[in-house]
Amino acid sequence: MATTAVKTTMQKYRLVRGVVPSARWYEPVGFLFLGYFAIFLVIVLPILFSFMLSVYDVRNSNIRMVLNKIGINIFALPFAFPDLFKGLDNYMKLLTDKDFIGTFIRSVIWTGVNVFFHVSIGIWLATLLNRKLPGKSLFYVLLILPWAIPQYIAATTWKGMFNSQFGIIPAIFEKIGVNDTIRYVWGMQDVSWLSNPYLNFVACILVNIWLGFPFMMMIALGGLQTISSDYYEAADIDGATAWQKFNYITLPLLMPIMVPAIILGTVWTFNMVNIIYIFADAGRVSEETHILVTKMYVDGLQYFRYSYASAIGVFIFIILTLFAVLYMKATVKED
Amino acid sequence: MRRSFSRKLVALASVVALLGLVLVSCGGAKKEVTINIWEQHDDTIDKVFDGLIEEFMKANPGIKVVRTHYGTEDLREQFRTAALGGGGPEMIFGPNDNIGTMVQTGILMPLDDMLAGVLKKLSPAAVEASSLEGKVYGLPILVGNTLTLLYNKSMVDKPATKMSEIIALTAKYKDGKTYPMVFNQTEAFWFVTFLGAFGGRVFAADGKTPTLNTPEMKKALAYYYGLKQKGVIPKESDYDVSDKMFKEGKAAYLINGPWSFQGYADALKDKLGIAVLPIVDETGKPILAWNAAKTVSVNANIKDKAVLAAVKKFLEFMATKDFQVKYALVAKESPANLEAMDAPQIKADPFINATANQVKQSIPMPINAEMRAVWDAIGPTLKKVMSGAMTPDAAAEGMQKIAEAKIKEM
Repeated sequence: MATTAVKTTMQKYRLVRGVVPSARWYEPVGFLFLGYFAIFLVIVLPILFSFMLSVYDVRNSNIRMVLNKIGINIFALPFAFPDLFKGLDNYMKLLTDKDFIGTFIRSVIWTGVNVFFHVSIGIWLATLLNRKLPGKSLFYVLLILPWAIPQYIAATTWKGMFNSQFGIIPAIFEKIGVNDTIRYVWGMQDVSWLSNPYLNFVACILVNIWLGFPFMMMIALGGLQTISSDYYEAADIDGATAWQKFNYITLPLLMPIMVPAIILGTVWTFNMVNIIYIFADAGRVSEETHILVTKMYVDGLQYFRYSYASAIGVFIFIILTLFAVLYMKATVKED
Repeated sequence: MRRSFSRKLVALASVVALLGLVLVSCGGAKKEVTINIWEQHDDTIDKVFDGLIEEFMKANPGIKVVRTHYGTEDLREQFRTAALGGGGPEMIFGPNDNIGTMVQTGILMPLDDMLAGVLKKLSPAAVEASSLEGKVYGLPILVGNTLTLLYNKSMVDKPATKMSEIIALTAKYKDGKTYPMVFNQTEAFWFVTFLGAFGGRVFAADGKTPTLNTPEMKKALAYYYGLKQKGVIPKESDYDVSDKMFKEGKAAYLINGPWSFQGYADALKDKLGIAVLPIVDETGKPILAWNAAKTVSVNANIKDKAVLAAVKKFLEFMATKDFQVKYALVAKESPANLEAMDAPQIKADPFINATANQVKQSIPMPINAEMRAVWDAIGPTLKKVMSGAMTPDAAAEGMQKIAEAKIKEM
C-alpha cells in the first residue's frame, strides 16, 4: 500500500529513475535564455558594435547625422549610409602608420615588463610572508597599501616625486649615479623624467610596477597557503636545497592559481589608461609615450574619431584574445 | 474580511491621490515652461546664481529655470551625449573653449537672431571670442581667463615691466631653491603667450591653417629654453610645483590666471601684487596673454516655440548690466556687458581690475575644433625642447607636422 503511494507520487512528479524531471524541451532553454541574453547584451553586442563601427567612417562631423537617422541601431548603418562604408581602410591606416607600429611595440614592452615584475615581486614577497615572521600582519598591510590608494592620487603624487628639480627620485638617482649613466649613454644634457618622453615612459612603468605587485602578491599568498607542508618535509628528507624546493614544488603548484591571474594582469595592464594619461599634462600624451589604449582614448574621446578608435579597440581585442588562448594552451600543456 | 476591505480602501485612496497629482501637474504644465541650464560653477558662485535665477522666475512667472551642476569635464561629456541622443538641457554654461568641437558635431544653435537685441551691449571682443565662422554660438557672461603676472611684494618692490628686470634677478638668487620666476612651463597655454611676444600666431589669417613652423616660433622656443638655461625659471616645474613655490616665497614672479588669485591672496596676504605681463626686450613686444570667455550656449535640439521664447528671455536677462555685475563680483572676472564693465563696484574690485587690465593686452583664444590639434602638437614637443631632446628648429617643424596630420584626420 505504502509503496504504491510512493510510486504514484514519483510518477506524478516524474521522479522515476531514468526520467528527466522535466522532459519538455523548452524548459531548460527557457531557464538558460536569460543568461544567454545577458551575455549577448553585454558582451557580444558591444563587440559587434565596435567591429561594425570600425569598418565605417563615423566621426565628430557626421555622428549627429548618423544618430538622427538610425539612433543606436548600428546595424541599420549599411542601409542608411552605404557611402560611409570604408571596408578595412581604418585597419590599413593603422597597420601602415609608422607611429602606430611603435605604439604597438611600446604596448607590448609596457605590458611585458610590468607583468613580469608584478608577478616576480608578488611571488617573492608572498614566499617571504608565508613563513613565521614577527609583525607579519603589519608587513602585509604595508605591502597592500599601493593597491588601496586610488590610482589617480598615487599617480599624481608620483608625478611630483619625479620632478627633476624638487622631486626625491631624481635626487636619489643623481646621488647613486643613474642620471650620470643616462647622460653618458644617451648623451642627454638634461635628465628630466617628466619632460623627456622616453624617460617619462620609464617613469610610468616604475610607477605601475609599484601599483600592480600587491594584487599578484595576494593571489600568490593565497596559492602558497594551499600547498601542503608534506611536500617540503619530503624534500627536506631528500636533502633538497631551498631553490630546488621553490623550483620543483612551489612554482609548479602555484602555477594553476597564477595563470588566470597573469592573464587578468596582462589584460588590465594592456588596457591601463590612468598612469600614462595622468603623467602627461592635460592628456597631451606625447607620441613617444602612447600605448594602444591611451591612443584609443585620445582618438575616441577627445578627437571623436569613433571609427578609427573602434578599429584600435578591435585590434586590442584580437591581440588580447590571441594572447589568452595561446598562453592557456602553453601552460595547460606543461601541466 | 475587514483587513482586506481596509486594504482596498488604502489602495483606492492612493490611486485617487496619484490621479490628483497627475492632473495637477498637467494643469501646471500648460502654463509653465521649464528650461534647464547645466553649469560648472564653484559653490560660492552657485549661491549667487541661484538668487539671480529666483529673481528671474519672480519676474517671469510662466518660466521655471532648473539649474544642474557638473564638473567641467563631465559637463561637456554629459551635454554632448545627451544632445547627440536628441535631448539634453536647453542651455550649457561654461568655458567657451569647446564650442568649436560642439559646433562641428552640430549640437549648438547659432544665436545671432535670438541675441540680436543684446549683442551691441556686449564687449565686441567677448562676442568675437564666442563666435565661429561669423556666427555667434554663445552669450558671453565673463571675459578673462587671461594669464597675468603675479609678484611677491616682499621680494620685489614694484612689478617688472621688462623681462630683463626679471632675468637680472638671477644674480640675486643663487641657493638653487629660489627663482626669479615660475609658471607651468610644460603646458602649451603658458608657452603661447611667449609666442605672441615674438609676433607668432598659431593659425593663419583664415583661422584654420596652423602656422607653427615659423621663424617666430623658433625664436620663441629658443627664448623659452634660454630662460631655463639661464636659471630664470626652474629646471622643471608644472602647475602644482610653481603654485607651491610662489606661495612659499620661493619665487618672486608667477604667471597664472584669475582662477588662482584668491588662493595667493590667502597665502601672501597684502604681499600679493598683480600686474600685466612684461615686455620681451628682444622684440619690444609684451608677452601676449590669450583671453577666453565664459558663455551660455543653446542646445540645437530645441524645437518648441514656447521653450525657445523662454530661453531667449533668460539669455536676455543674463545679458543685463544688473545680472552681469552681481555675477562678475562673485566670479571675480570681468563682465562682458559694457555698462557692467564700467560699474563702480566692478572698477573697485582689485582682482577684476587686474584681469581687465590684462585683457586689454591679450588676444582671444581660438575656439575652433582645430585648436585641439594645435594644443596636442605644441604640448609634447615643447617638453622635448625643454628637456634638451630637440632643437627649437626641429621642434617647430615637428609641431607643424603633428598639427597637420591631426587636423587631416579630424
